[in-house]
Amino acid sequence: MDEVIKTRGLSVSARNNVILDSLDLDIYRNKVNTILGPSGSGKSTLIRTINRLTDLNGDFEISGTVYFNDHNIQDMSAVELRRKIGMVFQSPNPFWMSIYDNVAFGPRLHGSLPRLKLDEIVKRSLTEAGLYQEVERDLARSAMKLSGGQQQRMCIARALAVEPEVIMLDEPTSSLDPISKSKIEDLMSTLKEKYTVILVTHDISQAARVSDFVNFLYKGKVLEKGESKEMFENPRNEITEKFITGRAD
Amino acid sequence: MRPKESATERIFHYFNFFMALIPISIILLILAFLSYYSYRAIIYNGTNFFTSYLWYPGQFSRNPIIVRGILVPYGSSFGALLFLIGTLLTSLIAIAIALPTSLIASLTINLYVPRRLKRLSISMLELFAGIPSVVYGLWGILVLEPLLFRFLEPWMRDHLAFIPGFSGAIVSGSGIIASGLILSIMILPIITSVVSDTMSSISSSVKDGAYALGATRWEMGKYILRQGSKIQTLGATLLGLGRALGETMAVLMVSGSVLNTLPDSIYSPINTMAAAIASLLDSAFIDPTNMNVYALTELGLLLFFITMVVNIVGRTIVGRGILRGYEHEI
Repeated sequence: MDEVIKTRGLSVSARNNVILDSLDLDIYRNKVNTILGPSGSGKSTLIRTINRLTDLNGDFEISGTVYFNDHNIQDMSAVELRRKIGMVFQSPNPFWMSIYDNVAFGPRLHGSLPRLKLDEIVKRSLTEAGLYQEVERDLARSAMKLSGGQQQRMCIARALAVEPEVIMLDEPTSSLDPISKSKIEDLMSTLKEKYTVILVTHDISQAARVSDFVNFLYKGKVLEKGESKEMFENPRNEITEKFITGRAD
Repeated sequence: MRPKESATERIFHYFNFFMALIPISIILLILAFLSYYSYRAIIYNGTNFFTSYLWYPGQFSRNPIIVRGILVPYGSSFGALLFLIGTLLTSLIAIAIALPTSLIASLTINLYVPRRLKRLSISMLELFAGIPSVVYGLWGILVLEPLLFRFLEPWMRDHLAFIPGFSGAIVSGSGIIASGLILSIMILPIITSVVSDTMSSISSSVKDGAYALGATRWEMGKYILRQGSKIQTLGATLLGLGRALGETMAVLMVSGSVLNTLPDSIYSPINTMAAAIASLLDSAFIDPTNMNVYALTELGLLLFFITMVVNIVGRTIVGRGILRGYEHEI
């Protein structure tokens, strides 16, 4: 199996609190890799460590290694890394610009492109995020005017516009209504054809619906990892079992 | 249905209502006083007030004359054009210097200064706003003017003379440049603190959103912080302008307090509305017809209107939609 991202002995602490405790994780190419766990288990910190957003906050102490395509991410430039590993946040975070400018934001950062090329990127990204048909005529409209679900899909399009290899979704549906939620869940199965998807969620049924692989994170440790089907049908760890059957504290 | 109010509550309610009326009544009273004192001047001066730059108190040794039914000193003329130009010019220079400086300062504070130092640097900046303007004026006369006269102004004349208004006689350090510079320093804190506050109130998920797309710190600042605080920057600039327009003491000390001579270059001495009121008031009281006082009051009324409008617009803008669509995160 082809691993895009590997963490080896990855530990993260902030102000003497251990958040992640020597994680060995594998993220597989063109699969939906789910990081499942209750609130406070360190899920968000994990993906922020992977794209080095943790660099921006001096509080984090990191040891161990994260490999991206077998390169240590500390040896790469953070800008380059974040371009290759896109991220979508918990609640939609559109920039106060038009839909077009939002999606074109990343490509514009990384070099000036002719307008036609940019148009093409915007169209492709919005199509991949399943939003193009809905906003085709309103690309110049402010992104703030979209509904929450549309905003989130636009944020996915924005992340796709820089052509990342991996796209990390940090509880992407937690602030959305059920219909928007199912649209984004459907999207994941099409996204994985082209991208590697990392889904962070505490929603067990969502994890069961969309994941290929699941890493169960609990209090900063990976308690169990494996193929989704197997883990949900046959959890080996007692805490995993409690959590997925809804009996965890 | 509203619950029944007790007597004490009702009294308290009316008391609050009454207290709330005080500020607005004070403003109305000031307006009434300004109007009462200036209406004779408004009738006498007519449009001359805006079109002439000649300000003559008149000859008090000769008998006053009657113009449009109003008793005025012989040979008096009250044209405020010079003061209007001076106020506008010095305030614009102040904004032109303070705005970019504030933007850079706010971006630096929000992007590069560690969190603990951030609060310190902002409160240091706000301390600046508390320095009495007479101290700024003193510094302007003793330090700034000699520097301008000896170094900056000759350098500008030698190197920037191709810009209209940048060639001309350098008489002393006091004048347009000194006033503009002093004003820019005085309005820097207010603009910076509003802009910097707005920038730090921008949701961190938006900032991280830009970083996650591969933006550098500077790019994040440029596209997210600066764009996101655009409206407040405009508002803060107007608030700064409001202060610059009305600033009196410091400008009075470094402007050169010229009368009846329009500036011919950026090195010329100047006078502003506020400074003129302060400097001319003393001699105005000698006028037996009081017209000199009335004319200065008219100047005050105009200044009152201008600063009032600028401040109201500025405050309205600053208070508007700071988080723009991210209110749910508060």
